[in-house]
Amino acid sequence: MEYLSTNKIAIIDLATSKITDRELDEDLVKGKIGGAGITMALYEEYQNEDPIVLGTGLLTGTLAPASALGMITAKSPLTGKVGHAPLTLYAGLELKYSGFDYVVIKGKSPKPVYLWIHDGVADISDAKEIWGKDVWASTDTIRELMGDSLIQVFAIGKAGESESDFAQVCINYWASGDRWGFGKLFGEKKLKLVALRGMSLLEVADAEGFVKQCKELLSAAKGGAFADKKGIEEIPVAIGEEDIREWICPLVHRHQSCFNTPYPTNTFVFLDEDPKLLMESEKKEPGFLITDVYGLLGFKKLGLSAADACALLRECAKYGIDAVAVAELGQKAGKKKPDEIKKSFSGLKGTLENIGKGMFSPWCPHFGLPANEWERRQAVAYIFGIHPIFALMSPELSEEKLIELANLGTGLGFTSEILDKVIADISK
Amino acid sequence: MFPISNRDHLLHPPPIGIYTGSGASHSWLWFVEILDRMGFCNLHFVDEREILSNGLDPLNVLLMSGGDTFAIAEGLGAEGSGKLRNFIEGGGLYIGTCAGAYLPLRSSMDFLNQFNFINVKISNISRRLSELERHSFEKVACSVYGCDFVFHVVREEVVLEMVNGYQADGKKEIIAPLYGGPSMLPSEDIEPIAIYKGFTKKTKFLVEEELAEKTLIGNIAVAKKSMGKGHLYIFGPHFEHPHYPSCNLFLGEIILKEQNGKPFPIQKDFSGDSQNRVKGEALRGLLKDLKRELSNSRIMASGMDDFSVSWLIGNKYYEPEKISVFINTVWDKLKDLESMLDLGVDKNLLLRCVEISKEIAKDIKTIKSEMGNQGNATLLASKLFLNLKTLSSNFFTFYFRAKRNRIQTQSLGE
Amino acid sequence: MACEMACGYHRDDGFALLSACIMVTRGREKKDYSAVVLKEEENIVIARPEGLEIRRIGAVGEEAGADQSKGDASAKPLLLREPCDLCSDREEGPLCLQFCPVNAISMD
Repeated sequence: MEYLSTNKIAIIDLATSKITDRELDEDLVKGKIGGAGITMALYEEYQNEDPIVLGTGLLTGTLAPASALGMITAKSPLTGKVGHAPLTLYAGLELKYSGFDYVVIKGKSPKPVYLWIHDGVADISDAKEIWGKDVWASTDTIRELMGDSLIQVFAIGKAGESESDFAQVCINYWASGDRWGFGKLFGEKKLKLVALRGMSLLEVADAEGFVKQCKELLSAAKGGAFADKKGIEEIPVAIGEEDIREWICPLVHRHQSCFNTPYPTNTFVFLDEDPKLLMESEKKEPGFLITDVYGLLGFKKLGLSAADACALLRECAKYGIDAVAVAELGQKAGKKKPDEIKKSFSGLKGTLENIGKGMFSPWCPHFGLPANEWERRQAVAYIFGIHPIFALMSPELSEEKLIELANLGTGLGFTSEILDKVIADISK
Repeated sequence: MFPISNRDHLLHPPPIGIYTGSGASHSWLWFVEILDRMGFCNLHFVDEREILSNGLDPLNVLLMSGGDTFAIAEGLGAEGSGKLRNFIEGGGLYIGTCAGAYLPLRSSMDFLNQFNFINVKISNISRRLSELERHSFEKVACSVYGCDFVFHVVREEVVLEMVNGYQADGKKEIIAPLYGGPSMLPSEDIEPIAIYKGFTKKTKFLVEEELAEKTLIGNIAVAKKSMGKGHLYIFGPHFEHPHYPSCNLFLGEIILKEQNGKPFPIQKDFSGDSQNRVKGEALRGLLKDLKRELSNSRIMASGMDDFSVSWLIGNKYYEPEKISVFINTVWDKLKDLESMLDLGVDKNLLLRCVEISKEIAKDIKTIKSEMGNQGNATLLASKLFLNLKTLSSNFFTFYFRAKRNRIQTQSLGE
Repeated sequence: MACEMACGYHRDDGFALLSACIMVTRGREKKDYSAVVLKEEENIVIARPEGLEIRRIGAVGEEAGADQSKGDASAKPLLLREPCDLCSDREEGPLCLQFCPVNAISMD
């Protein structure tokens, strides 16, 4: 696969420590396009070995607007079905630039390990120094060990190590969109984390045409419905939770975008520092980056103050546990105090009402769309590698435009019929 | 590939040495890049120790690029100077750019006075200035030279006029990049090849344009001298800069022209000892090990690009970004080697490269940590750059060896 | 970071970050502190949340930030991250400006 790709798939067997590099077959891309289309195909190929598949969209890591998305595809311990969880911020980009478009992780390691994937090289390393550490300490340790603070890390905390159903794979220090309990799968495989970094170059078939189209799409997207808004609090407002602004605003430091995404869907709150501070804080850990709307809303519903809610979100991320599950099960059990809720992390059990029904993580709100339309839009986002929330905010990134962009980038002649087929294949 | 008219060199490449020893900066990597592009694959890398151990004997050409002239002279010493003289007088071709051009020029300075191959004066030295001009030029003083100083009036592009019938890429006028090289005054000891004619929009003036003109224009930028059976070609501008193809072509044609039409059969690079060679899957594995360590190093080094510190090593400043330059030059050629797995590669050299790469990664990490703690990492940086040079020259040694073997295999197949 | 990608495209005709002359320093993630660094011919311009800083390239560590009127005139260019040329060969001007998704970059 010549364009928009590193042309490599890593097949990693944790049981035997064997790592095989496979070429990304152009025929596979022609038939499945990319992202969830291919991760699904790879999952099915290795399904007897209970794989976790990391993947990137066809457009991930390019100048296409909101081309930030990577994904995890695996069988959810919560639902028993195959699901896709988003990897946003800079994780999707770094996966592609680490030298592999896709990584299949199969088998179970006999002892704790981590994966170091860099510049087209995949290494399995002993994780004895980091097993038992929380997510933050694990990320710090790996970045220190490898000597680079830009390494992207998918890590589990104690929740994953103890194989909790609600264990989440976190991104660096932050909650991810993993609502499927994939952290448990990591724990079962004794896989502590995956660290990624690389400096690949992606070739483009019609470079000037592709870049011109990206510019036009970006311009259209910037003028869309969310043009003057920013931050995580606007998302619940859009789904009817008006009072969240007043509740969270006193803590807001800044809003952050994922890679190349015009709308900043993440908000950093300062809990132990003046939020108005512009200079670098002297505190080591002054706050938290909120990346999960429903986690925030969940704790708000318990009647917690914004500060307590965000502090709990931070604890959830350190522990590597899904905040939505903690909030929901906490509410069921009548827990209202932060200490009680925190104590519930260990041994958290119960049945969630708000589990996603489809294949795509319910981390992304529906914004009032009917379920089938939401599913389709998520499928398109996951195939092309577009931020799932932004894909819903921006109808300007239409399927036709994305197909056109994919053709300019790869020269492979995708059509809407092919896209329909891929969506149908993923959804069955 | 560059359209050099005579392409015999592809099958019968002349043995070319590139100096990588004390005082050599990173511009020798430019020679590697352009010569590789032009199909010259019989490249060898020599430092002062190799020169002193008769390392010049098998070579036809020695290329000396930019860096710290005093350090080069000191490293070679009187004995090295003698070896160099014998090499040229015996028929060898010496090509010096920038520091490599200053080296053989007449000088009374310590270490440089052991060379004095060419009796020519330079215009960019303070003794040629009036008191008033000297005061103006002090701010662009580059190197102390006894009671005087060498200065530079411009950087980046200059326009050269080819003289005495020479042309570069079919042109009488070319643009070349200047970074501190000499501006030579007419002398009976040299044959001028190109003179400084003017400036371009990209020329960066370090003094007023009038003063720059006075120093450079009309003076000699490129010259040739005969010594015994051999020749020296000295270049003020860097004709080996990869972004100046006409200049690169000129260099290539000079190298070929000076071979006097003699073919040079590719020498067998390996002894009969096949245990020294590795190929196939074993080679793939070792290359992967090297790739792993290089990747670790370049990832660590990449985070230093936003540091605005530099280290004074000898008389030259080294920036963190230079670390990435060395590593990425090797990295880019590694891919070529991955497609030559059927050929044998020197196993010991490859293993040595892997070991040096590990050391480099470790040192980069320590330097980063020192810098983060506002410490002084100059000593460690000095060791690091030495290792980077060793890694690069070792890597390119077996890289070009593999390329030569490929040509030999292909020509035997024909 | 789209600015880095756009600049990398301008240099390499493909998507890469290695040769961009504009960089976002994202290393202080837990503190929510980052800066945009632009490499110019002689200076590094650092745009921090609290203000602008301009440093001479090659300023020695302890003297970083001090007035350094003398760089090394004979220093060879590194050809890795080349200084910003404002995309002078492009009609529409700097690509980083055009592609910043949050309009953080402007030009006077």
